Amino acid sequence: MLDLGLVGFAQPWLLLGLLALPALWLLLRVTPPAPRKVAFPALLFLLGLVSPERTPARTPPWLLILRLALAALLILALAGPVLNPAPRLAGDGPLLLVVDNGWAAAPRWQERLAVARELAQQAEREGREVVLLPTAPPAADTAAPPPAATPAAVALDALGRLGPQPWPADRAAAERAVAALGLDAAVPVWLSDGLAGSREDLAAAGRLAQALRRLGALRVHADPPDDLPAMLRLPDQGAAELTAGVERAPSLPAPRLEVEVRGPGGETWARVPVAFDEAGGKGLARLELPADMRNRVARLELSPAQGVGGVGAPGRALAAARGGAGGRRPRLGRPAAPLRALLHRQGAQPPRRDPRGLGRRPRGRRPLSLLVLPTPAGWSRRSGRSSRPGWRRAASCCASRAEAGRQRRRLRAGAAARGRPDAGRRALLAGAAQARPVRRGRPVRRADRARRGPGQPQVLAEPGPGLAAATLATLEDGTPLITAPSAARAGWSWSTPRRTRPGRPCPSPACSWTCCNASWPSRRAPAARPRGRWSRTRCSTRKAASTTSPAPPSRSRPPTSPPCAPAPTTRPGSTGRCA
Amino acid sequence: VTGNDARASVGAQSTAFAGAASRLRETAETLSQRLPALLVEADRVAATVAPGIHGRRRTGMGETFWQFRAYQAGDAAGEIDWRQSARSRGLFVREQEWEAAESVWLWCDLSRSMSFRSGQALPPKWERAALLALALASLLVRGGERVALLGAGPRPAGGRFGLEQFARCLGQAAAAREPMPPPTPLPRSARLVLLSDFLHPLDGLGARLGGFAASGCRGSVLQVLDPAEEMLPYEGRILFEGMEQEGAALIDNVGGVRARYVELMRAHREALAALCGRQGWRFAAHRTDKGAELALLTLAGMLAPRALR
Repeated sequence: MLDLGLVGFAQPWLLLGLLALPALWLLLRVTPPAPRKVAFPALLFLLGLVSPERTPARTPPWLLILRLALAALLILALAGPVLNPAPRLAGDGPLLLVVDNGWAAAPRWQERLAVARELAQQAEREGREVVLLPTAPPAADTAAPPPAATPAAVALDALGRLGPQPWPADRAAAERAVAALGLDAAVPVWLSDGLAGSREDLAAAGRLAQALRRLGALRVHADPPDDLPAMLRLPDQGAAELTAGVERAPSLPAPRLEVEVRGPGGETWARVPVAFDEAGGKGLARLELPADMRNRVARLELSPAQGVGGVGAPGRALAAARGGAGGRRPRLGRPAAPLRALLHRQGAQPPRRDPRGLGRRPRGRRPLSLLVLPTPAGWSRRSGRSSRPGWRRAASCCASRAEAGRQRRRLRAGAAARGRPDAGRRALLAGAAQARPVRRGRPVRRADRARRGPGQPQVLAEPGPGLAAATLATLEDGTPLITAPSAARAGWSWSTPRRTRPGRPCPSPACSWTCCNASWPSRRAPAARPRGRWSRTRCSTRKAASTTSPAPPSRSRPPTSPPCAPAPTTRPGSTGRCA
Repeated sequence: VTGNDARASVGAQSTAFAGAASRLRETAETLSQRLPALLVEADRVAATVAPGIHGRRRTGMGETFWQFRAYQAGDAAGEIDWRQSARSRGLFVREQEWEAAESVWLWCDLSRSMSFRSGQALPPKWERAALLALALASLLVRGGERVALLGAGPRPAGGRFGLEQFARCLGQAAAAREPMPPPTPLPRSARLVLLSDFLHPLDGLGARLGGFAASGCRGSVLQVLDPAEEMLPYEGRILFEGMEQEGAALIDNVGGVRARYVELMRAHREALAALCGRQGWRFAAHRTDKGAELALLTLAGMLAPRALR
């Protein structure tokens, strides 16, 4: 590396090529190419001829200078010029790059990476090896090789794969790794996130700095104290007054931060400024929300964005206390409290596992439209069940199919479904009951309306495409009152079910599963004519299709059948009219 | 290159040329069969010409009747045709037509410059010239004339033997590569046919032709040229090298000098034609991209009796 102040050269020996330019000068002067030679007998007449235009025998000077400049520029470019070259790394030995990649490093990770890359490239130019030492422990299921001195190109590759982890840095472990390297001398550089969560952590950071100083002059790159990320503390459950706490490394003046309250759809409900104390370390934000909104808060976020520490998903924490304490309270910089616990904070009860493996379904999300699962081992196609208990309880394929076929319509805000309304909505439903939608002269029974399940009629659906087709009963002014998915509508219409003996495949061509005929009228009532008022010509997957809680295995009914509606006989006048 | 090597290479060259010449002769014979037999005009008879089968349209030694004429004093009594004399008054003498064969000397330029050709589709100039010479020889031999190669070989001979002897001499002469017709003393009233490109300065050629004309022989000159020598179809910067150690000429822009070159070539041809005309000789030009039959017709026309022209 040749450093000339403003410009440096990575391969300075190539500049010796400039010495060849005079030879090039001589060569370039002989411009005209050798003429084509032709043996010609009639030379007698050509000897005295002189062509009127003559090719210049010498290169014009401007062309010569242009070519020489081109050659000189080529040589300079090959020599690898570097504008404003970084100064040489001071010290001997490899470049020891200690990178804090905990959660606090996430907000400005790209800048950290750029600094690390620049250092590694400088080491590459100087021919040094690089030791890359991330301080955050890797995820439990990944095996990270112990840090070792590698060529700079390999370290650059590894830098590209390095990312921030959602837990704090473990500097005590980093110190042990530095000692395990057994280096005598190195160029230590520490890209610190600037946070130490506890006294022990602070002491470990000090020990790491001492260990690095022993190897050489330590350079520390860290964010200024004003820019260190803040952390959001979720409000206490069940408290009369919701107060979100904010913690940050104390510095003055304290930044202007706001807590954003977001609803299930990601919409912002409120922005509450955070009031910091005198030291600027701790702040409070009082969230004043109506009671029903308080139950449905999906996320709390700090604004401007502070990374993962500034986000909280309270789950049911804000709802009325149901007993028991919340999850463990994470504290800044404590490895025992990873941020994941903060993000997926659970309620008092342990979550019920569902076969989809997604954990407890978060509030506010829409039901799945389709879930594809691999066929598990031991799956019996004929019975639609698995011999393995975990899968037997799942009946997941059926559940997902049921969900796909029975997408409920979104209800209008404030409307109730499932026939078990709040007290405040009872009057409306009572009106609906009085409307008594008529299907073939028979009124909707209260028992039917009270059934739970996605295929059941709903009231007061949100307007949307396809609503008219899904409407069973409308009010006189045209307001769709009772809606049901198409699969359920088939059940609402009169139709003669196909006779299928138990254990036979489903007659529906789209259904490849074995039908369970437990609830088929032909089995319950041996008479040929279905006797029910609302003959349900569908398979009994009501529980399995529940979007909120999948069917527990203890049900006596096998939850294996998809909604195999047998050829719905849709009639033009099937929509009931309110009397 | 030692002298032995040079001789050996010349010998090999001549052998190769002899093979090529025999091949050429076959081609030439087939070519000449397409033309009628040529009767060479013999307006002047030289005393040295040996008697032959060719009638000279004059009285003389021969077997064919030519005319009766009145007896003059001094005629031998044995020359009187008594039968004719008995039919009328007076005595008549029977005269025969003089029959004699004419000798034609051919010369073909086989120097290095004649090996030029501007494209693979064209024959070299020497090949076309030799073909024409052989075709003409074959034509003459069938007409009863005698042919010989100028400057080489024995006396003119006719018949199949004469043609073969001519071809053999042509093969031997290829080694010599003489650019000019050799100053061979020719008998009076000999016919001479010269085939060459005549791309030399005309001074030496004029002296040589003057020598031939002074000896009383009449001749025909055919200039054989490659089309590239007429048109100079080159472009750009070209170094032209002579094929007979004439040096080299570097032309920077051939397209710029083409018009001047064509003009010079035309002037040279006109000077050559004027030179021939001054000697009473006849001149024609031929290009190798034209057919050989055309050139042979031209040659035959130049040798034909004046009455047939």
